[in-house]
Amino acid sequence: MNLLHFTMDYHDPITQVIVQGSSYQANVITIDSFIKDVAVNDICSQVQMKINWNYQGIDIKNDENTLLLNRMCHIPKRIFNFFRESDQEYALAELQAYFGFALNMFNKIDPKINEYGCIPSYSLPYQWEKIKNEYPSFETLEYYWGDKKYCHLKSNDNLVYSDIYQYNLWSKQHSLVNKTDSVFCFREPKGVPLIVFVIGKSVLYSHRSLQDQSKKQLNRILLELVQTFGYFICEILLFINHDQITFACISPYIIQSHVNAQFEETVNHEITRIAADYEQRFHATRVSS
Amino acid sequence: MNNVFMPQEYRPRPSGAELDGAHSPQAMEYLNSSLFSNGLSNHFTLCIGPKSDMVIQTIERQLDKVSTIITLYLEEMYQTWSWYCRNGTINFVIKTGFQRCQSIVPKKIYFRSAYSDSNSIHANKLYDFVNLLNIYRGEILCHPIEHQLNNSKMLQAALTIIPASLHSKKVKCPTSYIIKSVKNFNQLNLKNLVVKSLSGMRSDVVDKEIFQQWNQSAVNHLPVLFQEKISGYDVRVHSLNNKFYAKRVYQNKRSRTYRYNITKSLLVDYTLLDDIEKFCTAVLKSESLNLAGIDFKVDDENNYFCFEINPGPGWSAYYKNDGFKKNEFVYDLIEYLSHG
Repeated sequence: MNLLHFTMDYHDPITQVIVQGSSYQANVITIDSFIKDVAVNDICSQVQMKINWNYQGIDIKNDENTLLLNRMCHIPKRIFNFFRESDQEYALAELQAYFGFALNMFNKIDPKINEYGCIPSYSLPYQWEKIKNEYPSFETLEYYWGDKKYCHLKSNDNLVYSDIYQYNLWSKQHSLVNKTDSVFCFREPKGVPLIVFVIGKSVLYSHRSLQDQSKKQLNRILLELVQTFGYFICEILLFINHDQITFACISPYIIQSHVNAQFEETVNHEITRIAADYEQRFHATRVSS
Repeated sequence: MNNVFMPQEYRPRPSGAELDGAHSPQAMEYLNSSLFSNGLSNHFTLCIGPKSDMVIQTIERQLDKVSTIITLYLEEMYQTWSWYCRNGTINFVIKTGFQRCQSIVPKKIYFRSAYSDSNSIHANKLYDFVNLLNIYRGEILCHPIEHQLNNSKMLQAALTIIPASLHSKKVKCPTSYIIKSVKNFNQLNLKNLVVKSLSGMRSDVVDKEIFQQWNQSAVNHLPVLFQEKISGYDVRVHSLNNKFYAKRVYQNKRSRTYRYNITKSLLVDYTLLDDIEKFCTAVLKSESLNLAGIDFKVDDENNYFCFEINPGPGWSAYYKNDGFKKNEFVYDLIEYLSHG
């Protein structure tokens, strides 16, 4: 079984672990190397759905021998600097449409790859509404979004001014300066930030302040929550204030967790486990057929 | 500098979808204030889209003074109308005159997709609004995030069209080849193939007499879609709330393109076979669509080749001469937006 790892670039912390990993074979393809070096010869019909790539002499197909781990969270615009300006927008749409198709045709570890070929990201209001409805044990942040004129929150309410896809801004000191007619702001979260890294069934916490019992309980809820959002790999930010846990965000981007001493071991462990599971299932299917 | 295979002149911008940066707003005049005084501000359906969108314009022409449908132009966001979301509760505020406005919680939203350059003054507005619709709890026709599978034609073929066609004797999906590299392009049997966009970006559908003249080295830079050319006539099916409305398209013979030009074609009502209705029902269910446009080409052997399911169909061109009361689809749509 070959692991195909598709990624934005070599800066991604998961990609760095995979490149150094010794317990499994992986073909690593970045978006740049796809554009430069991958030849494509696919067929899509009622009788066959074949992805045929050739990368530096290696054939890559969407058959049972290949398992995809996708780490593309967005397609960076810099990729299209090499296209004529009048072609850049079309090139982006075409590449997204292709990845949306091709990456979804592989046997894949990621539960969700969107129609642009990316691991989906969700806006903060979307996440908070979902958490309020489905995980009421978490607190969420009071927020306002929309026309500036109707904002009900007062500026002395410790407000953080941000963007709906900004997963890294939680303090009012770092608020974004808004120059448009609309605003997105929320009350600054209270408590100590806790960053949780989830990969498959493994959970890593940024610090050890939680009791074992509450950690066990939290693990169970977080693993369920991660499934709800359709992630295999993600980072979750919580704020702990005594007994109160506030959900801040979940995203496929690894912003902090890679500094954790157990990060590399955890990633290797989970990928090896999932690759072995896949191989076993594939082998069982072959034997039974 | 790299270029893409399909030259710019074969990639027309969809008319009506582009936001007009020069548009100057006027306060809306047709809201019936007596409906508001009865506290019925949550009985409205909002149709929101670009000012020049033909669907929005067609709906506007059908509305009378007491309609519960309100059309809003995206260009006028934060001017004649605006919106806000307080902890998940969404309100629309609509100016009804000088220093007068009305707050509305719509029961439905019909969203017409729009295009805006990332540098345009409208880009941020559109970005926010599309994301707002993703947390709106009422019904949305043409959801700009959830219903976008046709942004990748081949993904839609793989996940929707081909699985649904397996339950039909008549529906087929044309064979497609996706090629990147000149070597693979040269090995392709080009006879009877057309080239078109892989994405939701509009393109002409061009056969080999034309695309053989293009710069072939561009096939090295991006994947390109080549598709089996089907000869026959075109059928467009619109569906609304599980009811189907079909038109056969008689193409102008002088047209040089494979894809018909709707403004130069003759359109005639068409009766669908049960088998085709079953297929249409299956694709709508698969994509959870209440409103859609489904494109077929019917060959000499009466096979229906399905090309695309459009979750935001521009239906106005198919019914523009029929009039509101005479046309079942337009009548049903207005009824659906008003009540059902």
